[in-house]
Amino acid sequence: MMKWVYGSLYLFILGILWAVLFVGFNRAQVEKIDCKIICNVNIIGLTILLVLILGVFKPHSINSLYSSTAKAETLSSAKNFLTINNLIDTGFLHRVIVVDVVVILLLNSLSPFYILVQKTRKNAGIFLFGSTEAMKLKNFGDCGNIGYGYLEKIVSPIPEPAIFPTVRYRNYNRFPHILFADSRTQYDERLLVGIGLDENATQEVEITQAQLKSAESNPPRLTWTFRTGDDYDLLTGMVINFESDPTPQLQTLLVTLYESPVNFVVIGQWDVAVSERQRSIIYSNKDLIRNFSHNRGATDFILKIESTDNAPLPNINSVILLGVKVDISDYTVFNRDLEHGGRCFAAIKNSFLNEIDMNNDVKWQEYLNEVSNVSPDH
Amino acid sequence: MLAQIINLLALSIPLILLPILLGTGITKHRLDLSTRWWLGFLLISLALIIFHALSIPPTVYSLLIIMIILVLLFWQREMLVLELLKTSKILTNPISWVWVIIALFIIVVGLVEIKTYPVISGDALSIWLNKAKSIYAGKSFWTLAIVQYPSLGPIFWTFAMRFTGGYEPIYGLYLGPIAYSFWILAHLSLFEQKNNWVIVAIIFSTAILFYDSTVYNGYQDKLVMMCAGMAVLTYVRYFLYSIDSSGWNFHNGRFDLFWLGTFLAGMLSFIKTEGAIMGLIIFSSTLFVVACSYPKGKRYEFFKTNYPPIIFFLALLSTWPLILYFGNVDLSKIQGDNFSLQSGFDFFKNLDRLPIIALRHLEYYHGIFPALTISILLTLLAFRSLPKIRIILSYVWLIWLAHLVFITLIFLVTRAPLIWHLDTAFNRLSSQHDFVYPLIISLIISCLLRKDHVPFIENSP
Repeated sequence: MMKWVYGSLYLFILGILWAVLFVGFNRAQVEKIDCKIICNVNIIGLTILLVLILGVFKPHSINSLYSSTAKAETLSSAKNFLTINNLIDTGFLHRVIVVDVVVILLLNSLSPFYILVQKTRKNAGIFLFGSTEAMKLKNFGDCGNIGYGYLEKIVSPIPEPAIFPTVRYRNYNRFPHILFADSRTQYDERLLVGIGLDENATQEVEITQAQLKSAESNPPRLTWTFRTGDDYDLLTGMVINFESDPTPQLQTLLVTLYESPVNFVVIGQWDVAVSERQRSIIYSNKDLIRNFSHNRGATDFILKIESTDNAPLPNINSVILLGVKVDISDYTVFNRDLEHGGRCFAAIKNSFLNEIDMNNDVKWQEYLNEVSNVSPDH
Repeated sequence: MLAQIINLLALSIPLILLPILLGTGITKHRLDLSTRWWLGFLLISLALIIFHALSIPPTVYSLLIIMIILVLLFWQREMLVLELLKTSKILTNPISWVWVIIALFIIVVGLVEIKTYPVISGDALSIWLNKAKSIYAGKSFWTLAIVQYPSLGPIFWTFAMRFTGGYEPIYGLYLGPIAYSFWILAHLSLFEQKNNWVIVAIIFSTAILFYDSTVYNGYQDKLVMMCAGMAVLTYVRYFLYSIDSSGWNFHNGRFDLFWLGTFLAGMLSFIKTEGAIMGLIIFSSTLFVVACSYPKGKRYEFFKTNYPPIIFFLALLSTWPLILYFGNVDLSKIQGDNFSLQSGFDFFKNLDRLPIIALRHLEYYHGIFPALTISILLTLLAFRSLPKIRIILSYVWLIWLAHLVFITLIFLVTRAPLIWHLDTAFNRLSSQHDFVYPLIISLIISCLLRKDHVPFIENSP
């Protein structure tokens, strides 16, 4: 009886492992390589490997199983194989395993190898004969992507050799200075370059809607959380929408903005007055929060709304944050990339422009004359 | 085209020639070319980091390093000539050229890809290349971007760039394919007969399977993987030398390989913060295996007589934190707000994250399914048929498992949003232990190719 148990168990494990390999290989290979021939050979090759290796592990009881009068058809093929397996020496078995492994590995590396060869063959000429500059322009864009081409025009003539203009993108900072073969490592706010920006980027827009995280009653407090995704220079205000008429009387809400749920550093606090029967408040910050959200990845902001007099809070439906992606209010644009509809621009800080005029700084004046293609209207 | 060729020739000096020369000049022990390159590369990098931390100007320390290498080579000139003769003798064998062709293929593919379609983005720009440019511009150690992150990769990139006469970010990235080809060819040291097309097929296919843009896109995870792979491979060779007919005998082993493995494991902490953990995993696993394989009453004796490498490892591991400490960097927040010493103890509060993390593990292993499955199946075979390397295989899988646990722990304690953190870091972290599969496959195949099925042990020099 035990012989049958061992035998069945052995075949069961074999079947399970084969099924795992079949499903695993099919899924992995179809997703990655999309080549049915390789997938099938993989499955066959690996099945052979599995059977051979399990043949080495064959329990002794299975040998005696064959001598018994096994009638089950499912066992007969396994019996034949394993009987053959008994006849071959281990050295031969190992050599078959090695060949099997080599075939599987070679087959799997064939497709990526072919792709690598094709790509290299195609690009070898460009590698040898194309200039690095041309490659950078092609890969990092002119007025799109990182804006290498436009930045090259603006940056190379800058008279101070260590500075690089502050650069703003429509999403997040790309640290473009590292692409340039110079020694410019200091980002300088006196110059601002915008890359691939539309008109909205310099105007107040809705940043995002905050999500309610928790509500406490004693003391009354609502905790909201939000993430900007893109970089924003300014937080200009917020819109608070109420579910129903908020309050029968005037109430002041204390709104506090924290940098992150980890450090809880306060970056802004406002008293927001809610008047009677007001369904929505558009609150504009008097003190704008500058450099509001830069390089934050997926870090959340925390916004807490409390009651200043411990009175119950009104039912708030949503909180929408308002801000400006690229703040050019203190700048004068001196160059626009007209080829790309002005989506790239260079601007100079007004205070610095005045300084240049007052000090008659010839180097900077020459730079502006050289690079400027729009009349300064500061 | 001429300028391109001149630049490539200039870059071959720091990227290939100097590490090989230093690796050859520094030790009289018999080592293969790949290991010598890795030894030389890491020694140069260590010197660069220390000189930079001491605020010595880059032009001065670059020259100083070249001078030291030249003096060393003059001192060891006889051995250098012997090594050159040996290499030229090896190259008369046609199959040796196959290894050169494989290495050249990896390097050429990488170089062409880096220049024509550079895929640098994210942290490669904001951290690693940002550091490289600052170092090149002569900024002091303390003013580098994200100072707490180790800077081995960026500092070696800038060292290489100097040979072309100017800063050019893509030149630094050339290090990746070169390091990769030396890492993969180092597995040849496990084989007795190199003149076998089976070995060519194994080395070639594993090289292709794990070769992708992460080798040269500016991220440091593949460099961690390769360096960790070299450390484990070196320890494996040390274990192989310690096996004789009666079992384990560490007195017969080549202890120089133990030292070398320790150096390679310790240097991981200079590449990435997680590299320190990987180094710790590798070194403690090695000590664990040695302790387990030593006769019960004599374990203490081993540690008593062989404590210098342990001190050496701890010294290497603590050098970077000490540099940071003296630079007034808060060591408790080395990974910013996402991790702190306190958050490290919070993992039990986030156990509900385990299913999500487990799914990510499964997804990752789907991508490397052939190599993983073959490694597992061959290990099963070896446990039955190759009893002499059972402990060595257990050692390699122990490192794999410990690193797997480490990755899981990271995502259990992270304070960053989990999905975002998984999306941006999981695959990179998991790739750090990819060295396990080529090593396992090479080791077992090397044993199977021998008629006596015992591991290959090179003759002593």
